[in-house]
Amino acid sequence: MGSILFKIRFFVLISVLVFGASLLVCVDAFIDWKNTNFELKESWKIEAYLKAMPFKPNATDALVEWRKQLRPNFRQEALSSIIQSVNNRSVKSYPEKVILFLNQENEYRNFLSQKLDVLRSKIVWCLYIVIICFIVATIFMSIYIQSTIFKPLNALYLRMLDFLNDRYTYEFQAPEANEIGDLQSTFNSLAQRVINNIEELKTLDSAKTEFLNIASHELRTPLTSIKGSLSLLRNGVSGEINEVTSKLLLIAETETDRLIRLINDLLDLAKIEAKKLPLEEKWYQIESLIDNTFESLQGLSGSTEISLNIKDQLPIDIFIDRDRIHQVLTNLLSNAIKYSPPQGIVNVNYFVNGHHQLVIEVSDQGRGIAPEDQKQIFEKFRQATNDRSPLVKGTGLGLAIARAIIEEHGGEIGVKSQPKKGSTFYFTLPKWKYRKTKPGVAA
Amino acid sequence: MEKIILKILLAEDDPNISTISKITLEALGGHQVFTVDNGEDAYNRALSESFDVILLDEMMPKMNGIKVCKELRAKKVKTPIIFLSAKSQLTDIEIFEAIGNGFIPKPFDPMTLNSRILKILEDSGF
Repeated sequence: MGSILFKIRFFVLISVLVFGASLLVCVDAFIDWKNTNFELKESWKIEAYLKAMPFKPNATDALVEWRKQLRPNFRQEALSSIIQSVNNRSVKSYPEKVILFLNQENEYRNFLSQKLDVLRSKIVWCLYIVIICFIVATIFMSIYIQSTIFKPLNALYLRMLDFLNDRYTYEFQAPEANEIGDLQSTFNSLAQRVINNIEELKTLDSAKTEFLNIASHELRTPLTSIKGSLSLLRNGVSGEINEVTSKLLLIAETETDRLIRLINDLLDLAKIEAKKLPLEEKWYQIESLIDNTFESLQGLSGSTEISLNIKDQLPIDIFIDRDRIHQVLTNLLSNAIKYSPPQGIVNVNYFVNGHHQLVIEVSDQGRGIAPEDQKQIFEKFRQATNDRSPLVKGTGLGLAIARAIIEEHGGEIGVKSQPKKGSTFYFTLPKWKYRKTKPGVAA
Repeated sequence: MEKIILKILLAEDDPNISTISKITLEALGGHQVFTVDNGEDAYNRALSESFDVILLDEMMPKMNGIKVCKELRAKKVKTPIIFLSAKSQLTDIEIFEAIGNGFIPKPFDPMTLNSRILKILEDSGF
């Protein structure tokens, strides 16, 4: 479809034709005018010559020359008869003929001046037409281009901008059958396709979310019942059991437990990775966060002593999703407890580092992590080799989850460790501030 | 220590968990346990009878645990209410503790259920 281009070409062609034709007519008339003017001057010259001509034999030479130029024929004939009477020396007829010729010339000159007037007005009119043509063509073209190209182009541009801002405005009227119309309908189909894709993605996304939700509920519920039943059986609630049965039940129970944790961690990680857990960030006091986590883990610590060892009690508020950071701290602390030797000490500390970032550290007195393992442990399903106790087997996802959460907060997570001397896990949080405390009042 | 025998209303829609909880509470604590499997029944039962403690699952058909708790409190039922829920986010826990008397996260070890209930009751002064 090239309708606009075709129309413009057609219009330009017509304009050029009209313009050219007018110009041709104009030029033609101008040449005619020039010739006529010349003829008029020649006629005056002949008259002047005849009036002044001395009556002598050679005087006719100039007249003969002039005669060749004269049009139409009756002028030549009149001049010829003058030349003849000069040649025949007929003095008597000569003046008569001259007067006849001059009268005739006078009339002819009148005719010529009238012709000149006509030609002049013809030239002027042609020039008018050229100018008017030009102006009309320019105005018409600009209006046409404005209305058929720039206006719809601008409308399309606005719709594209809208689309860019997630507002799709559908053009209800059918696009015109021209280049802009093609552009519009192409944009419409393109937008429609993008919208369809988005819809499809949304459907997929909600299917995924639904799956995650169903999976979390449907998988956890039966496992909970299994675990509960096993626990009751093993603890002899339904009657005495022998030692072997108890051992087997313990294995079943522990593994069910691990399965539950694995499912929880997997679902957590899936949710974080699918951005299904948008951070709900608020300002919290760091001390209360650490205290809470500490309390919730007291029961787990067993023979390990966990202690808070905060160097300087900085009054700091952190901008975090409390549940998520709580989860990270819990992961780090339970790891530390898990890998601590009997009667080991786990320390928690926080401070502001040289890069103006808040650092929270959890250190243990475990056997440390080999340098080659230090990066891997933050990957999914990677654990440092040789777990001390197979009964506290983790899911291998805790640190991956912690890393995902910390990275979502814009921080970093890492570990410093020396084999046999223990490990220090740390993470940074970029959004924090000193809490304003009233002077003289302890925070 | 004196053995406390309680009359317990357990509202839990999952029959397995309900059975396990009932068995453990009866076997370990010697309590009297009555079970219902939806929020509406829990509400009606709690209004018509008096219990020593009500255990409410958060997610139940017909009426969720939080709603049951709020309606009961609106009817001046002062029976201690403990929530059982898989929602263990700190924000959820705060809600449970604010409108009820306590919260036991799911999944729980049935062996500890009795002692946890007793502890919550003791903490809230019953």
